[in-house]
Amino acid sequence: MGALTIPSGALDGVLGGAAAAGGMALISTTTLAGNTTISSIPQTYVNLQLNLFRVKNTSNFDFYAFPNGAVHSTDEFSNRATTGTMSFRQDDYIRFSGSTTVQANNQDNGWTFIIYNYTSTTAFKPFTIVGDYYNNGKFVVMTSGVIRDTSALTSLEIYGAGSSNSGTVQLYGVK
Amino acid sequence: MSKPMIRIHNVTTDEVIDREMNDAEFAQYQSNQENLMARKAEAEEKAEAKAAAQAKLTSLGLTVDDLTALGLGGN
Repeated sequence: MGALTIPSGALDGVLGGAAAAGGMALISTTTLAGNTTISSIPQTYVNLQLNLFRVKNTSNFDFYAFPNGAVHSTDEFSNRATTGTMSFRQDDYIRFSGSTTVQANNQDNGWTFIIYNYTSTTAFKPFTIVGDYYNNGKFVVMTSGVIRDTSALTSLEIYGAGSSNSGTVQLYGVK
Repeated sequence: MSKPMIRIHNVTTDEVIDREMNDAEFAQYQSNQENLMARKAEAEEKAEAKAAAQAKLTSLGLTVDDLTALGLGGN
């Protein structure tokens, strides 16, 4: 019986190495401490996916993402709900929380944030956010939008109440 | 007065730096905060104006659906 031969790189996406086409690879895991910037993002993937979990403020405040460190104009359309009916909201900046702030000292908050075509130097960057956060009840968030900036995205700031922010962010590159 | 602390995680080198904001970062931080507050206030004003307009409609015995039926309004 012949030996099993696995082509070089075939399991990279599974094992956490370089992603094969259509696969994803874990680039980094960041522990939030205050407003935190994820910098020097590799420009070798097609899309980025961020998983944010156990994210917490010590005061009531929203959480935002600032591409390349600044509030960029965005077109953002969101549906957010506690139970049952979703409500519509239009924002013009990337906000993970919704019509209420994220309640202080609660870490039942998590989101998946995908940015498409992030290396483009000519196109705006579409994004989607799905997740859940807490403020005297659970709020579901479903958001889509576009970052109205043609610069390649090389860094991303996770912005909250300040030095008290905590939580974990996993950054994946998607081929 | 000390400036807020920030964390920078260079995901290419995996280096993590915790430090006070420098002057340029603090200026950007203040600009971001002002920008967010201004946009939030603008959104709240729009929402209040919309609620007030809907209250006026209601007092006239009309609904948003009535305006839509006339080809007025929308999102």
